[in-house]
Amino acid sequence: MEAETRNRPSFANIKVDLGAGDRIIAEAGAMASMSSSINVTTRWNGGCFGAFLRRIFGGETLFVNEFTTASQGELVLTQPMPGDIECIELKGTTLFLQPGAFLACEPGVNLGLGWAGIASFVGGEGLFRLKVSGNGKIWFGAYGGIFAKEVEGEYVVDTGHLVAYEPSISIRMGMAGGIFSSFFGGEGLVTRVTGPGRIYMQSRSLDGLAAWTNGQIW
Amino acid sequence: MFDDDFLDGEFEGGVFSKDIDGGRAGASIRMDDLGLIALLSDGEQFFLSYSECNLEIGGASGRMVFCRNDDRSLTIFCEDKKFTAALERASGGELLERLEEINATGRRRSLAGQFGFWGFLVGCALLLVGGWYGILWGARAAVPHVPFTVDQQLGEAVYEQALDEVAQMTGEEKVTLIEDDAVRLPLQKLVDDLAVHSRMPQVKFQVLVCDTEIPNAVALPGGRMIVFRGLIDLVETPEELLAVLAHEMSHVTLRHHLQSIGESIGVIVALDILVGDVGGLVALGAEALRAAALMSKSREHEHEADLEGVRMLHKAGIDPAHAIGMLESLPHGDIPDALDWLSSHPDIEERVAAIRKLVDELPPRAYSPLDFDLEGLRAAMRNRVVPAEDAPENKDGDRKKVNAADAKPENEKREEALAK
Repeated sequence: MEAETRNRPSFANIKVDLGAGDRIIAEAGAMASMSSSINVTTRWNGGCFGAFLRRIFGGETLFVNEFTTASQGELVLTQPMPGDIECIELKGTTLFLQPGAFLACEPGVNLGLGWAGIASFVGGEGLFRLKVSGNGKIWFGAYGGIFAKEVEGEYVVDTGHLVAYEPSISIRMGMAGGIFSSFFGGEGLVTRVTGPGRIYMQSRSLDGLAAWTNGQIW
Repeated sequence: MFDDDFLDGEFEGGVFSKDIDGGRAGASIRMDDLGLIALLSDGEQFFLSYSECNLEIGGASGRMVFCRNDDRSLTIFCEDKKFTAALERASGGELLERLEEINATGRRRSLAGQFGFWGFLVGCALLLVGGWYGILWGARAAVPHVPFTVDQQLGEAVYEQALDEVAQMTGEEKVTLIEDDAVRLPLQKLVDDLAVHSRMPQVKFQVLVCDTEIPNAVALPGGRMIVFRGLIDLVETPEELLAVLAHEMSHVTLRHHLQSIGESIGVIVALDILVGDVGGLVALGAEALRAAALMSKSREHEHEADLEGVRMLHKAGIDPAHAIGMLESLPHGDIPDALDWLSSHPDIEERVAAIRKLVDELPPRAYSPLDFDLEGLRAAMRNRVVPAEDAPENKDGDRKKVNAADAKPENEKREEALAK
């Protein structure tokens, strides 16, 4: 299987060339186009109960599609929002994704749900996070560009910008500065991440866009 | 006491090192007398001695243990709950002090995490229960603001389906309605006389009689009522018949059908908010709406209809105790849920107890017997005119109007004669 992320970073999509016997799993609705030789099987995203949990708390779709072919074919996967798509190869490692970021994975990857904590919820990052582990490639998307950062010690990320992080990263919510600067400086709550480990951030925030749009309407 | 088994134990974890492509990899971690060994899936090994091992705790779970060398160029990490205990024993006490601190921190974080998680679960449970009762309350509160014409249109829309449902339950291909005025009009008058004592006296009820042996009656939204022949055959007094009709009329005047639909819509909207993409659930929702509009009623609705029926009888000067007698004489056993009057939920004993309680609480008044010719109605049913299309063929293969007794198949006539 060959996969290429095209049209980066604004309107990224994945072009996948499937060979005989190759498989790729993508969230429902991610397929933009495909060869007629490709078969699609739809199933619950980790069992009925698990799918509902992932939908409600992980922001994922209720169903996932598995694409296979007996010969060969081309498949294009995309995400609903404009922005970049990142591919990571898991080698027995784990990655946490923020709700809604997951796009596709190879069959060796396991999808689970991890408790993120009340502090994460208060900071607008969700009570749960999607946990991907195992061996194989995963693709996740974001609004805007995606950039990685190796964190050693503490690092501050504005809420809504954190997309993915390794399990070795600890997260806590806090104010950007003092009470005055936090509330009047426009930063409010921030995510304080502590390494060692790698985090992935998005260059734009959907919450920020929503707030800006609301401001234009009213 | 040192447990040698720990030296053979393996823990799932990982390694951070610049020597690995990408800087990190998952690893199996083992311990020997000197230090930690991390074995990668490609066979590469990393070693960190206990003497240069600096321990830290952190990670997303707050319980991940990091073993790092002095210049932090190598980190071996693990989240396994038994890892610190194994490390304590394998290191022979060298890391004891730091491990105790780490264990204490881990316990604190674990406790805080559990507190948060269980708090979340309790919150979810409260939200679900509150949401459910909110939906019920919302549906009840909204119904009085919906014009009754909506009930009538709904009743019109589900009428054919209701007849099909009745036919399916009785195993017949099609329900035969008894359109003979000698049968229908006395029942219509009975209902009209009682309707003036209902909560909505302006509702025009329309009585239909179907030729079905099951003792039952069904009310559709808007005021259409289907009375089964079996019910007329079963009752011992006209008052018992009126008690059943009062119960069904109450479903209409209390607008239970619309409430059920409101509850179904509430559940679908709640699911839509909670789950989002409910594409497949919409079809289920449509089915729920249809079922709600037809016959499915809740336990509360049955109780309410029982009690409202009793009030109507009391107002009309008919002894409401007949409702108790009627319920007690019902055939018990497997009763289809969709058959409303015979509905097995709530339990018959429960319904009788609730009615008895209300009857005892009602102000005393003199009741008079119901002026209704039940035997005359039964005779009219037996001798009713069967339309030509429903009559059996004669010797020449033609059909003509006959009375109901003559329209019966030969085997039924024979059985009746034997019974006599």
